[in-house]
Amino acid sequence: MCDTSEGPTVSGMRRSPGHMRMAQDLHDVVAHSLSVIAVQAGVGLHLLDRQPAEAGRALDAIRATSRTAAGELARLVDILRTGDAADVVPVPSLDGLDALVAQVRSAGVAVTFTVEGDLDGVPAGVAAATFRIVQEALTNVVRHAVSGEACVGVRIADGHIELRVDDGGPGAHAPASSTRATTPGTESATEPGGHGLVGMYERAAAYGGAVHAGPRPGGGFRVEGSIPFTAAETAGVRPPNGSAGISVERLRVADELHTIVMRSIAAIAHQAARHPDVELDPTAARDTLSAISTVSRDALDELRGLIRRVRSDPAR
Amino acid sequence: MTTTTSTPIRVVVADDQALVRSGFLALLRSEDGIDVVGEAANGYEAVKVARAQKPDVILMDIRMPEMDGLEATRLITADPSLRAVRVLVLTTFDLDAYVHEALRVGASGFVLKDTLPADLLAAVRVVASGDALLAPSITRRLIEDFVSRPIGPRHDPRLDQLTTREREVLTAVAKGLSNAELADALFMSVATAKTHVGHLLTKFSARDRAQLVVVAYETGLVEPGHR
Repeated sequence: MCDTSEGPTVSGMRRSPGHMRMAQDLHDVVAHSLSVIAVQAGVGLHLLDRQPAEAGRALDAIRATSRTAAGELARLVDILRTGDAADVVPVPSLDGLDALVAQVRSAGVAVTFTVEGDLDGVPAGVAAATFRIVQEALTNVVRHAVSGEACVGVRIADGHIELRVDDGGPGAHAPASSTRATTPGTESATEPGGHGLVGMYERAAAYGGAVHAGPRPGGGFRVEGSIPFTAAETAGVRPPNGSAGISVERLRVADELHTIVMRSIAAIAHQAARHPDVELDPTAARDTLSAISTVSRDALDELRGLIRRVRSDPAR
Repeated sequence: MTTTTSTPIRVVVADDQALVRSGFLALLRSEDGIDVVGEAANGYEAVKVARAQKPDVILMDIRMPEMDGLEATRLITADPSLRAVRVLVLTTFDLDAYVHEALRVGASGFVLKDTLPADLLAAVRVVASGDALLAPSITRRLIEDFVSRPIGPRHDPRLDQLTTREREVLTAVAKGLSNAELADALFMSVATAKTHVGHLLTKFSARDRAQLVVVAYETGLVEPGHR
């Protein structure tokens, strides 16, 4: 069986918010690699007898994907171990929204920006996720904007933070008081919003929130989201000197995430490296694909369980 | 092996991850009784291909750039020319909020991307035929979660248009019974069961079986927690 030694874990490393954000980002990408690997392994197994060439392609795809994911994890480990992540990734917080909006204005987009509620009351992780989502949405506005107008609204109320970024069109305004991030259906074929939507969803979901993106009824594109938080959580992460902290529970979740992902990618890479020839040794190919399918699906189940626990208890 | 000469199920695959898309395409193409008629890498393409090809089933990834799968599903279910298209939502992380929304706007069901191929193919067949709900107990639980209980008079006038038999069939459908199961339970032939379900779909302008379940809860015919 493959080497089950842990290797370096997140707990052995620096744990500033900057590091945590980078860890989150890279883990998100790796988690989606697991999904790709699971699909390819399943299909390869299913078609092994009838279409061995497809099984061979699946093994190649798995090898490439796991290699990339392993590389990303290695890079993550490096970053977490060495240096100050604040140099690499400035800690995103809601204080940065003003500067962000100013940047977008200097890029030629007229931005209406409103904030309602107490930004200081938002825990660091949720604030960072919100900032990143708004940043991603505005990056897309700058890239794809047709109207040259955008409307950004952030609202804190009742234990959640709401955000809305509207690209162009008349009548854009701050978020309505609703926690459901939905957009009414529309038949109009408006110009697309942006890329990076997966990252937005993931960031919100990690904190038990949700993001929705789609065309607006009046024209243009809308990204809106809502992320919950608890007062206890806020209290737990506000050290007196004002620098953002991270709750013990979040670190535990991050460690668990890292462990699941690390183990599964290592196991898959090990299996894929066997490089069985489907034509010459179909038995070995079957065993390899079967093992990879099991490992990737188990890891995804564990990640889902983790996300469900995080969502059901936002204080975690 | 079946000897029916039913026409193949026409399927479109919409997923932004190229390797997921190509994997599902290879799987579906290899299957007798299923024809792949298009693919899409984002919601915009998904809607365009759906309108051009009018497939029986579209596998729709929720998270895609340009336009996500939820929005694409809304556009498809709102389009009268696409009444017969069944949307089967694909997801990596089955976050309830997204799945609720998908069902609410007319998806027929959802599957995890890492579902084993045999189960994925079965899911495509189930939603194409409409004879049963996909993952009945999960689907019903999700529908229960998002349907608001009827307030005011317990009697919903929409139920007046139903015959007694139709009420019985609708109740059975809402309990998650397949056509074969409800035919058994209600002492009718499967053909009769299908006819009743067809009438119910028409009377409620319901898109598919899952939407009939929504109606059953909305009208108060079935209460949440009713098993």
